[in-house]
Amino acid sequence: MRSISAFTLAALKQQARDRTSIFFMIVLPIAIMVIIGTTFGGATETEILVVGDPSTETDRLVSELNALDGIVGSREPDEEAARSQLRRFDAEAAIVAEADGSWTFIGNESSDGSLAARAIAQRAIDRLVLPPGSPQPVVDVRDIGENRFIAQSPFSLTAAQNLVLFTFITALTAGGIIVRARRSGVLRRALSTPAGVGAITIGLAGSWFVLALVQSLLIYLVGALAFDVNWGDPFGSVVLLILFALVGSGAGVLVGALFPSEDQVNSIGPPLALILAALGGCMVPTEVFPDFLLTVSRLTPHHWALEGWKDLIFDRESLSGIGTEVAVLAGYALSLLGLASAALRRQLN
Amino acid sequence: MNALSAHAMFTVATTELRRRLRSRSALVTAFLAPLGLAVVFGTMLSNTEASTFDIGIVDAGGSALSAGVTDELVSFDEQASDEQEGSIVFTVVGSEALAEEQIDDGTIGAAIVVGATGEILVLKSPDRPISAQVGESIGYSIGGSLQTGLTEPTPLATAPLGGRPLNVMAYYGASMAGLLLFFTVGTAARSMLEDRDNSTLPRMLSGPTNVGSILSGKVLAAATLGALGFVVVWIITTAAFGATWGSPAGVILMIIGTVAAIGGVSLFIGGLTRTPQQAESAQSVVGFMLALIGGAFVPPTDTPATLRTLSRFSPNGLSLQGFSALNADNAGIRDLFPTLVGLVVFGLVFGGVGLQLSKRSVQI
Repeated sequence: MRSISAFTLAALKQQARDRTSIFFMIVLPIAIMVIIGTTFGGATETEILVVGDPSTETDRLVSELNALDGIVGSREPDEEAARSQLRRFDAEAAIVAEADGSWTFIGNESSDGSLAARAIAQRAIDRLVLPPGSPQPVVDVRDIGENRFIAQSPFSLTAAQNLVLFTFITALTAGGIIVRARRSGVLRRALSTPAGVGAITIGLAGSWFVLALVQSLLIYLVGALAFDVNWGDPFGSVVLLILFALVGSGAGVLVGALFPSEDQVNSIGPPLALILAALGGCMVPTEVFPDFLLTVSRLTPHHWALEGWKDLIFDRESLSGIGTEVAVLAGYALSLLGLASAALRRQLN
Repeated sequence: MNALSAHAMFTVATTELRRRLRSRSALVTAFLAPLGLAVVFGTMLSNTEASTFDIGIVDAGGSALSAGVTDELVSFDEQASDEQEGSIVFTVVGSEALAEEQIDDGTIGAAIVVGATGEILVLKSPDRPISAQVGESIGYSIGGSLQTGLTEPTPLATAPLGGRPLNVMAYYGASMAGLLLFFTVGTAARSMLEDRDNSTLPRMLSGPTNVGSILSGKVLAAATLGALGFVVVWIITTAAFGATWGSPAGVILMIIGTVAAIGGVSLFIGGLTRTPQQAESAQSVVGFMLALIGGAFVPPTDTPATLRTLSRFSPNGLSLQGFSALNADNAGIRDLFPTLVGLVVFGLVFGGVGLQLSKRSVQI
């Protein structure tokens, strides 16, 4: 037991010296949480252009648009310039004031936002019959689920996505430390001590587990304290944090045992982790995925971890409500740790 | 630079390039990783062209008004389906509780509940933000129509956008190739530090060459590898995934400009460090941050306005701006001129200072 904890501590000290890991662990998750959170978190601004010469009607339309939450109305005199902005996604839609007094809507069919923009444009044009400054219609908007009376932080989804993404990316990139220890003969020399291969493997996996868990907890706490994320059932949260940290530690040790050079871990690890995270729904909500990509998404542990978090956060499920996700993640953790242990044994023997 | 230094530079460049091409890690960083990331992101987001949003309508009031609103929406759905493919589909749902259930299991994306006197309630799920946005907009639109008392909405014709909208696969091809350039081109400064540490550099300097020629040779090799990686991503996404990057001459100029700008910044970062490990860490950190600010990870459809402004100060953002102009606006070389100048200035300023710093950091 003492030798296992000695290996865990030694590996943790090595990881703490790696500044790239610390960056992936602390700075990047929080920066991305803020940027992606403002993108998908409800604070988005949709820009709608009003095309036409200045007139009472077009001025009024611009101010009606600007009076709406999250909408920026601006004037663009040139229709072709407006179309160019739409093609480049610099603006969401344009409303053209025609010479005969009618209105034409132009949207970018490739953007989902244009569907919402059309409804917004219609609403603004309809309001032109009312006196300026008339109050906005009263519409009640509610989140579904048992927690519908609890206001959700706009960062809830992005916090869960980042927790899953970065726990895995950090564990994977830190795999280079095992390669370095293997190649420099440190691990082989460790075998000359009373500690066996089993103790070394468990010790290393233990340090990766601690690293992944610390990072998850950090994102969890920053999410809760700085971004007001309500993560839901604490027991369910603890189980998800532990299981995904085990998945990450299994993947990290496996990479460290399999890759021949540190250079390869550094060049393959981050892109691989980014691809798995993207497929798992950590960067873009899976609601926009085509069907075949949804099937691929279900093959990643990220997908199941994220589904578990969504159930806890948005549906206020308890531990029993995330049984499937917990079972799949436990399966991933066991398989990856088993494979990592076998690969490391093979290398050391 | 005299003929001897130029010869030494090209010798170092060809040797270094041959060595990098034999390294599997370099091949992954330069070719496979950007290609893989571009394909995954491009495939995920290209799907928006065919997205359909199912919105539930609940007549909770049972009045003539609420029934009228429900009928109006269903008939809007029929008209809209004639005008455009893949849009909003309205489905009548029996009750508010059933609508919640259907949103929860994914049958519908959001629901609009209409009360007896025209009260509007929008039900949405926070884990489906795009459907929520669509549902909310429609809810407010109905609320607005009821407020104005218009029996028919003001006519609003729809005109096609025309031209070619931004191709998402090409956008992500350029963005991911730009992100990975930090790792490919950044090897020049790292390689100098490694050569210093393993005593290769003193042996190289015993011949008729100097630190400047060796460093320039390594920069040339790394830049060539980075540019080749970019070209491979361009060719494969075009041939295999139908990406439309724009005019080939413009694409080539943009690749050169991007390699110069990102190469300059990564050389500068490398020059500030003292060990290969420090260089790698610093380049990863700066590379990810600049790519993040430049909009590499955020779908182009959803880039917030502040991020768009900020992105102009990042070589990745500037590069994506040029590639977007080529891709969506069929921009010519003249249109790209300001972006290219910006990229070259980035490259010259940071690269120039970086060369001096790197030379100083390996002085023996």
